[in-house]
Amino acid sequence: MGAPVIPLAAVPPGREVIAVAIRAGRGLTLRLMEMGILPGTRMRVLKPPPGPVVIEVRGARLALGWGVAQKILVQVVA
Amino acid sequence: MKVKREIVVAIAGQPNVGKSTLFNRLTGAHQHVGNWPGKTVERKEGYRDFAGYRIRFIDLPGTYSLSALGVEEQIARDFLAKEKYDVVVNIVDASNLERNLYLTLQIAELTPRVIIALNMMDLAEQKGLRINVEKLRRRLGVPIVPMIAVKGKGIEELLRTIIDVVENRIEPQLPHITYSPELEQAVDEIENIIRHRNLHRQLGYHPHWLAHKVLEEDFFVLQSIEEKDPDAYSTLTTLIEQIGKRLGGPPSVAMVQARYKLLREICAPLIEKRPVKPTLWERFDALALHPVVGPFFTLFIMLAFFVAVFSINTGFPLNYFLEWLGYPDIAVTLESYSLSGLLGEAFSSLAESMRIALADVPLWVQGLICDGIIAGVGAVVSFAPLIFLIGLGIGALEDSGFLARAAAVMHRPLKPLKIAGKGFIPLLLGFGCNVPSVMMCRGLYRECERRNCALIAGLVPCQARLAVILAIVTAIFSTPLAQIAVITSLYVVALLLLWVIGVLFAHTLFRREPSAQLVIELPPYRAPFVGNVLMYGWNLTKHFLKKAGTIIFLLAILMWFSLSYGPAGFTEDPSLSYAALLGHALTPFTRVFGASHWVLVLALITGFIAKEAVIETVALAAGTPSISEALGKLGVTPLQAYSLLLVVTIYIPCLATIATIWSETRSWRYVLLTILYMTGIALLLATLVYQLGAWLGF
Ligand SMILES: Nc1nc2c(ncn2[C@@H]2O[C@H](COP(=O)(O)OP(=O)(O)O)[C@@H](O)[C@H]2O)c(=O)[nH]1
Repeated sequence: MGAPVIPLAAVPPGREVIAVAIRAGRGLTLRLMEMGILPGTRMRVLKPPPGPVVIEVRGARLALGWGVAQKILVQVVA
Repeated sequence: MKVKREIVVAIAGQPNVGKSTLFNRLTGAHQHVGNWPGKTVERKEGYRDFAGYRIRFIDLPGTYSLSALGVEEQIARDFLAKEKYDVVVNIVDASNLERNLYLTLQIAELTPRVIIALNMMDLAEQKGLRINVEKLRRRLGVPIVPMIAVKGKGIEELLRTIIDVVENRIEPQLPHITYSPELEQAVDEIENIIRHRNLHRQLGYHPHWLAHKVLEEDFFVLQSIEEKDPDAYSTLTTLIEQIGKRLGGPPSVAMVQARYKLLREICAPLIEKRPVKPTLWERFDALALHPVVGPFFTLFIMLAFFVAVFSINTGFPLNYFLEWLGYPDIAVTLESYSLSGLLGEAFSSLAESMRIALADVPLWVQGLICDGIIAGVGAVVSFAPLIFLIGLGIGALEDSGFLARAAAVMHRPLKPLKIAGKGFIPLLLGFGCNVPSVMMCRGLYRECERRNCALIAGLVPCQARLAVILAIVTAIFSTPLAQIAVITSLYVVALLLLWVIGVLFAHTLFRREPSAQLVIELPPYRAPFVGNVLMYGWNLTKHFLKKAGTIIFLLAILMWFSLSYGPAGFTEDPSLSYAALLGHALTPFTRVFGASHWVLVLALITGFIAKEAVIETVALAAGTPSISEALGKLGVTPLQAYSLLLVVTIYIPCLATIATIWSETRSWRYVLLTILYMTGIALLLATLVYQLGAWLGF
């Protein structure tokens, strides 16, 4: 559990990560959480920046802007 | 069969779960598309007669949750909280169960009468998921109907289940979420205040539900409490702050976490997953979303789609291409057999035969019928095939999953306009025609995006404007280099303006709105379902004919009147009409931007009906079919021509676009603003260019 906490935007493709925190305004935080990205959620990075960051979370595939991906802090687990 | 009773069923679900497919399957052709009152959000309603019942289906907007983050969520939950209905059918994507059931839990807070339509069973299978439906049914306490909506599987059973619930043979009982003791206590405290202040009556919600929403700091709920009872509002906000301190974070976060925790507990034991390899198409996403290749790829697909649609509709641009290749005959044939060619033919021969049939009636009646009414109907109908074709194309691109990728990759350039990447679709459509472009704005996520997009959509130079530009440019400028330079400069000016004005509106009219954040689901690629696509095109066309059609028709009659009546009564000579009079009166002013002949002013006035009318008017009033001759007769210099082109490109969107802006935004302020800013900028810019050019000696 000692992996460093980094923004989602910095994760290389193919890696599995666990969300640690969302550092965004209320509206965006709620929207992300309701779409299934919560602290503790496991997800997989399919495509890193440049361009939208694509992740797979709870069976769905989401595209996030770089700014958004920068606000989601994660730990790489695999 | 005698209809026993009418029942109302709301259909709720997250985006991309097959909700439209299910709705189309359930209602067939018995559907009606309108807008939710006062909103630019589509409202679909339809019915199905089954087992002696008339089941009326209301399609709620597709939303991930019922937290009122946007208009869609607000509409969906206000319907569920305030309207009368018998059952909610919650359509759920089996291949993405946990997140889909999040919405289910939120619906359960509003009503227990829920049926789950567990759709995409085939897709779940492909993804290697096996769901124990029976256990899920027991665990959730509601009827669950497994379905494959595209194949029509499960429809009958769903209908039977609806009747079972209505006749109380089944009583759905969704599980209640128990939040942590701290949260439960907070809800109680808030509910006490709400009951004490009678807020639930004033707002028309259930007090327990309202307490949850207050604790979640729901924007719309708190806003309406502030309006109704400022005292209670400040008491409540202080209380929430205290609770937040006790919890060590905002309560809303804790509540979402509690819901997802429950869902994990429910779902994890019921789903078996075996690993599957990513499909070829999924690898393809790396290309479609590539920062450099992606936009080109997207533009390429859209361009191919345009060329196809517009060639079918008017022959353009394929006819130019054929001519260029040396097949002028085929080009002409293509043009006359294109949809708008055939329609135009039909309407003009209808007008001609009416003119002959009405030879004995007064001339003004003949004129009213042939040039007013028939031309008015023609103006409306001639847009219909284009709208239908565009509807088909967009429907197919959307159904296949392509549009989601396009929206993701086009997000950046539109960010300063506070419009999400999806806004690129309506804007791009504008190059063909501004009417469907304004209509497509409804697909955007937030009200402010839809409005900003509709406001600037008229600035995209449409095909009709291109026709005018081409005609005038080829008549006035002789070298190909000059021609290309003029055309390119007009497009650059228009698109730059679009961007600048869009940014301007974003920071004035919509300054309170945050900029759009890219968070979009990428549904799997799949072959579009023909039934959905056809229904999409048909509904769009019907909506256009009904809503914008009437206004276009009325305005066309008005234009006919001003062109056929003058101080001396009815006239067949437009130069004696009120419109010409207006042209004469305006000429002293229009001189500043080079429109020094009244015919040019008249042409600009008729250009409001349809942009291509500019050319017709100039030719007609100058009394020669050749544009270059006509412009020569009027003494138009290249500088004057250029400034005139600037005006034609930017000034007032055509009548049909105006009508559509009204029918979509339902706001005269927006219509007026569009007309004023476009005309104002066009005249200002043209004056500047003309005066500067004249000063430089052009
Ligand atoms: N494999 C599969 N695809 C489906 C099913 N139901 C709908 N679809 C497809 O899913 C896509 C989205 O459907 P649509 O009805 O537009 O979803 P909506 O956004 O919820 O209205 C379309 O391509 C449909 O053809 C199903 O049961 N199985």
